[in-house]
Amino acid sequence: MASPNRTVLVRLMASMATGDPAALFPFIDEFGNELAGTVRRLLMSLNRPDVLRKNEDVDYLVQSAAFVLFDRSPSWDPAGALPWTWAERAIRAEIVRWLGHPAVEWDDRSHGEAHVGSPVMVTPDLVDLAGDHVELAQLLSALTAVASERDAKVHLEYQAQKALGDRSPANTVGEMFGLSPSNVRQIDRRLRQRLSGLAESDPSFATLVRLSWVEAC
Amino acid sequence: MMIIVDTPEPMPADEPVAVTAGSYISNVTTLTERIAIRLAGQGVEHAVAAAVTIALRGMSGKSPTDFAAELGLAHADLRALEAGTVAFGDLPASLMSRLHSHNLEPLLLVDLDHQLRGD
Repeated sequence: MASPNRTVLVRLMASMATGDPAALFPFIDEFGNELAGTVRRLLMSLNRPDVLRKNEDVDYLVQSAAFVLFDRSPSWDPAGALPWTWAERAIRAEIVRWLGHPAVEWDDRSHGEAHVGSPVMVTPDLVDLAGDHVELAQLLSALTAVASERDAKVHLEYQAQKALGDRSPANTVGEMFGLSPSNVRQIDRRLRQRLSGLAESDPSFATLVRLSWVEAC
Repeated sequence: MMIIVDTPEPMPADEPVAVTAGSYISNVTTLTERIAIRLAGQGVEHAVAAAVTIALRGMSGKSPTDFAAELGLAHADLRALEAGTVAFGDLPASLMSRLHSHNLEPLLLVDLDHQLRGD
């Protein structure tokens, strides 16, 4: 690395070592390409080229790598290896943690003809279920009152994915509906606010506040 | 303290690739949200407001003293903002006016603020 960059690197690592998170911004701006190179290489070594193809995921992991360095910056020796080389094992561990460790039971259906399709909708036939669950019937009725059919589906799918532990529900739902993740989150937020307003203004929908995501709005 | 919020999503940055050598474009809203969640975990009361202030200082490239002067604040006031003693809605206008020009998305930050504060 050329000496001017090395000087900047040492200065920013020193700032981070004092616990100043503001240094993360110039650090990523200046050394994000190096971090991205490390992240890409590690993703390839983990056989995850699918993640590699998503710029937003790579960017997220670049930030994660920067946080790894931030947390370890007091121990970094400026005379030693570059930080992302020095902390590569910790960065790899962070990537693995983010990717998750899938633990699945053997299922014959998973080992026949491979078919990679779209993400699977997890919302079952809610109209059928509503016959047995009054609160669900109220929710569907309220959604009909405050949202378009598509937005209602986006909201329900987003909440279902979150409840099932999806780490990136907005990405999953965005893929299903052809929306950006931020669009999905905005639609969900808007609907939560409308449902909350409806629950306050119309006594027939008052029980909606029992739903955690409406109550939290 | 256990804080339960939506984990910030990986969100599209403006093509996070090299523009010039040494200039990487990242999604600064996501980064700010992640800092806010860390601060909230440390018990900072107005974590999003603190993270936004920290983010804007970081992106300015200025020292705390120079950044405070640029905002027309005393250094101690800037420190108080970064310590999370001021609510997001009460941040100085001189700071809030910089959100857009630094690609920080106010709606997402307000949403996170509500989640962290349980509003």
